[in-house]
Amino acid sequence: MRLLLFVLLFGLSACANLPFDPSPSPAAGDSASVAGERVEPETRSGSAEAVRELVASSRASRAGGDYSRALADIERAIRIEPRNPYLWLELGETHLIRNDPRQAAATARKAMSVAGPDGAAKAAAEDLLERASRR
Amino acid sequence: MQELKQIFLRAPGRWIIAALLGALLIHVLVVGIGAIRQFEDRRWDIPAGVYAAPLELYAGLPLDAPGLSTALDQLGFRQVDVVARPGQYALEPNRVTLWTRAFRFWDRVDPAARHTVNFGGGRIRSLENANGERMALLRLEPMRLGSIFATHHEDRLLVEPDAIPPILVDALKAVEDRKFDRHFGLDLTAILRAAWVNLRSGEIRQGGSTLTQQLVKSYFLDGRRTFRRKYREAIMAMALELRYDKEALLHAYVNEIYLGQQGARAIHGFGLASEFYFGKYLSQLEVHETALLVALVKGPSYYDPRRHPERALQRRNLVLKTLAELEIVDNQAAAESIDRELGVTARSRVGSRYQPAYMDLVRRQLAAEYSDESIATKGLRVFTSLDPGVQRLAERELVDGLERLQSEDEEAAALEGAAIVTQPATGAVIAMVGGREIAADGFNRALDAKRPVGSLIKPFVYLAALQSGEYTLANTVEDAPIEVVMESGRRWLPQNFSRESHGEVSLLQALAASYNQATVRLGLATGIEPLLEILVEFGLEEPPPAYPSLLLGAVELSPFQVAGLYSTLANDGFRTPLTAVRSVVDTEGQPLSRTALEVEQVADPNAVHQLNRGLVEVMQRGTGRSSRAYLPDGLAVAGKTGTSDDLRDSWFAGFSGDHLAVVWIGRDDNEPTGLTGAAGALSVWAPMIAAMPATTSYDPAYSADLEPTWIDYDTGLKSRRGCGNAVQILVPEGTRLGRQPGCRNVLGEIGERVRDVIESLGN
Repeated sequence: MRLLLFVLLFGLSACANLPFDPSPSPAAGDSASVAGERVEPETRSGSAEAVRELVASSRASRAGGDYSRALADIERAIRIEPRNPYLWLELGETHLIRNDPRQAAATARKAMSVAGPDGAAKAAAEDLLERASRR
Repeated sequence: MQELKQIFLRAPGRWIIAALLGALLIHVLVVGIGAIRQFEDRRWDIPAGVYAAPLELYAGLPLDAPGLSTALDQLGFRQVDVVARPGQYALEPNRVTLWTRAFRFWDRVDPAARHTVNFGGGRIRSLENANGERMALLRLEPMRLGSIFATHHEDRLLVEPDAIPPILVDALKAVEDRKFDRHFGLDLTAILRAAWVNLRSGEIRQGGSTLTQQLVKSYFLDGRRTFRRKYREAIMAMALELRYDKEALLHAYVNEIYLGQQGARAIHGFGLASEFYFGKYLSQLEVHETALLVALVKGPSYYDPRRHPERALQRRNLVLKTLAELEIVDNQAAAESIDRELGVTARSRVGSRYQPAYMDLVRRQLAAEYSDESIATKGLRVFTSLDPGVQRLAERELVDGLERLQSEDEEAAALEGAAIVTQPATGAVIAMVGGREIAADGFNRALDAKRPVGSLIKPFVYLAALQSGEYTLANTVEDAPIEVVMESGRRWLPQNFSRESHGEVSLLQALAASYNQATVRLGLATGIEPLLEILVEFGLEEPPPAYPSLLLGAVELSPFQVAGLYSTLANDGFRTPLTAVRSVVDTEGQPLSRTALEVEQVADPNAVHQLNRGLVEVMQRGTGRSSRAYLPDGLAVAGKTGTSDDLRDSWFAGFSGDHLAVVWIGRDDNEPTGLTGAAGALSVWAPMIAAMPATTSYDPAYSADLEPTWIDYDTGLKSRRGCGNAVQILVPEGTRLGRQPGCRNVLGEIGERVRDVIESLGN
């Protein structure tokens, strides 16, 4: 009985705040972890393929040391999905590797500002921010 | 005779003659060398090619088949039934097959290739390559906008030597200069014949000019046709012939000769003329079209095919007959061509390539990094962010809007305006309109018209209040008469637009309805300093004068500066500089510079989100609500109207989820327009945003530090959805608000109590 009451009251507390129509948030099941591990970019609409391809291309360029190209590709992706936090994170990783910790930190903050309720993205952004401030 | 011999043999006579000959020789040398020098300068003044942003195709992009067809036409693609080579496309109701041309981008070369684009539901559904495999992304070649000349701001559509159609060359020689290949700059028989005709008629009637002479005339000299001119022309022509071969001269001629006029803008060269008259590339012209262009050489105004079609037709057919006579075309082809109509387009389609306002911005941004000299270095290619579709849209809405607004007010001078569209997330300037005369290369109001911004400043006043932590939009402020004593001792009594005061109102309402007195009160309470800091952080190069009147927008800014400020708002408080140039590449394709996407956090995103929610309310309930008539139901936008003293300036600045646009309307003579921001600028802004392709609702994700809550629009007290004047805003989590009588959310209140209890249990 007390459990039932507790559940009822708990349910009522949810009435306290009717949220906005939630923005389509990145899928909950994305594989992301904090400590510098790869965060797969989740995308929200039909542009998923295009964005994934650009991210893949950007990573390849980054791995090969062609930072200009890496930046150009991820920027193209951002033009397509400007509010995708994972794209900003990719941008930040490239800035970090090419020794621009200031921009890396700034893009991490930008990623945080568009992450909204996406906990994984926020965590990854905080991690990037931390690594950037260590430099 | 004997006397002459005497004079010549005598010493002084000999010297005089020698001196005269010497002077003549020097004169000829000077003129000749000068000619070669100037030719050299202009010849190597190969314009930097400036390109718009490439259209990127991907599944999900809002675009339909006709839309892609328009874009391809703009790029000079030819619509055909069956695609057979690069530069062609075929159009079906929900599919486009195309063969792209090879293009060297700033990062790589894309080879020519076949593609298929499938559409559905107003979007691209899929992309396929030549093998039928699915593609994720296809970047079309960008539209070439024009050129930047260091020495003279004229436009060219340069035709490379191997792109000059042979028939054009043959026709030019046949009609203008049959002995071109053989002469040394002058055609003596032609000159003599012309001289004979002119002498008999008493005036200069016939030309007798070779192509080289015509080239010289167009390069250096004005149109005066005196004998002295002809003499100089002759020397220069011969000098050029000595120095350069026939191909080089022809190449220069094809790109230089004057062929028409578009308002204040001269049309030089066959490449541009081909576009100007026929909307086609030179390589796409048919025989009768080529013949018309050649016919125009003799007198582009006199034979203007749009103004004097009969004359143009007659001369064109004369040209065609000549071509048949000389067997350059066979008789049948000539006969068929003679039967064809002129075929010129009704209005020049060059307009979409010619972007003086945007090019102005490009030039200025390049000038900071490149000296005039290095821009003039041959072959620089400049890639910009211009979106041709949005540019056309902005131009159309501004021009149509100004015409509409103008007609309601007869006596006053012409209304003028400016518009800028950006993508705040990247800082890219995608469209810019500098005034009503789109093709005019004059005063660029978007960059240079500094006008009092009026109420456009208010969001920044409220942002300062929100950032201080002492206010939310639910707090109240008194909208009542206030007297401000300035440093000089003078008194300032700000008035509301309606001359009424509204008493104690929520900050939300004061912002949405743009109350002056409430804003001044709030601004003075928060202090002018924070406002100044915000303005500088958000992009102003220098802080404006710190007078209290700044709170109501007593500062003069250009639309471009306003766009910079609002861009930072749209971007959650992250500043990204507005840029038009994406990258610059040299002839070899080596990147010279690239504008990197850089961001800097300059405000608390939570404060900005709260403010922007208020700006959304401006458009729902406030001074911007007339926009709702234009905007589709699901499209949420944020913005602010701006009206300066005496209604001299009508402003609107606002953004959707993807785009920001600023519109200004006013008079160049600064006289009142009678238009508020809503009546004027907003009536241009709203249809423009509504028609913007691929723009989405402003509905950003915000952090967990904020929570949405319903308040009463007037009192700022806590309310609930659907009750009275309830509006939803964002407040910092845990903000406690008083309750709006009659609009209690009982369940919600109980829930809050329970939550408090649970939380306190956890501590």
